[in-house]
Amino acid sequence: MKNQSKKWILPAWFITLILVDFGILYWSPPDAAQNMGTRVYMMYMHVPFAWTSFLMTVLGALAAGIYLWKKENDWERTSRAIIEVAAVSAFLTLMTGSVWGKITWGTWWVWDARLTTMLILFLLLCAYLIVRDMHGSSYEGKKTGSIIAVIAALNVPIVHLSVNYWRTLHQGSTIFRQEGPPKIDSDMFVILLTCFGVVLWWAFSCVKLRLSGSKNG
Amino acid sequence: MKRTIYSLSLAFIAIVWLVFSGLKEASLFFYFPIEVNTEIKAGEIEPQERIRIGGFVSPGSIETSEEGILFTLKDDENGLVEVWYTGILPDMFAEGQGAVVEGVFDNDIDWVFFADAIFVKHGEEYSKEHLDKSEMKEKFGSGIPSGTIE
Repeated sequence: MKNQSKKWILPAWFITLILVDFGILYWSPPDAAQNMGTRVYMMYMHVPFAWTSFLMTVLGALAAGIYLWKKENDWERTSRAIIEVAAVSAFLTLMTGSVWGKITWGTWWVWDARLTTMLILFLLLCAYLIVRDMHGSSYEGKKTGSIIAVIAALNVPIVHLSVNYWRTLHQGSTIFRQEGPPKIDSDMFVILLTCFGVVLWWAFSCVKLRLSGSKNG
Repeated sequence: MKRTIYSLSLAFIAIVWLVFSGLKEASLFFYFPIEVNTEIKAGEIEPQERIRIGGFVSPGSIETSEEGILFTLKDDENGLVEVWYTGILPDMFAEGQGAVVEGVFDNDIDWVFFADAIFVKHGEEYSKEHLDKSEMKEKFGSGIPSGTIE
């Protein structure tokens, strides 16, 4: 019975995603503050994946840190599952961001501080995956991977603060700001949080599925 | 355990140094128009040196012709740069909109800036109503409105 319910997680999530997408298109107001219009819809995918990649990197690094301390394999497996999802989220952040950049800024990519540091974070997560793949079950491989995970997590505040600290093409923080309320309409904010919830659900479902399948890996 | 912490700190310092030094050029992604003049005088910007300048498209300054467009980039402190551009404009390019232009000053520096790339820069405010500068300040505390900069 338990295995049956697991099979439904991803299809259920997929259907929810489709419904949420239609919901966005139907309910979400186009942005008029900056003449962005319907281009703003990219935000509802880009921002949740960005937040998810940050959150998963930090959680994965925490688990990796506990592994480095306690040397129990269960913590290592958990951190690996979480970092895998973090890497995919970071990749999707870069992809959705690139499309959003093309339709608003007029370019797929620029080497400004925000994009460059985000790319570095993604590459660090890839480095983790490569190291763990090459050194499957050796302690050295697990230790190295865990250290990379911690370094990646230390990079997360740099990525977030990059738009405030440096002069960038990417706009500043809308929600997680030093002072003041989020610079977004409340109904847009609610839609954004809903999308974030859906992406988080996907992320944790992936981690759960990965952990249940890899008991022997 | 001690070695792990040691190598971890070393790696972290190396990464941070790499990031900060690599980003030195990217860290100043563009000059403001007001800075351009001072930087030219200080010898920081030379003729034919590729730079980027970011500001707002001054309302009423866009002149289109067959070969290209000429407009003025300005900032909050009334720095002004004349920009000449012959390429395809981004969709969102408009009067009052933020823009970052990339290109060179000719040998006749301090005159027209020859841009070969234009990026539209937008702010971080999202709202379903169009807000002008004072409305945006009231609603969000600050912001970069587009359409008009008054």
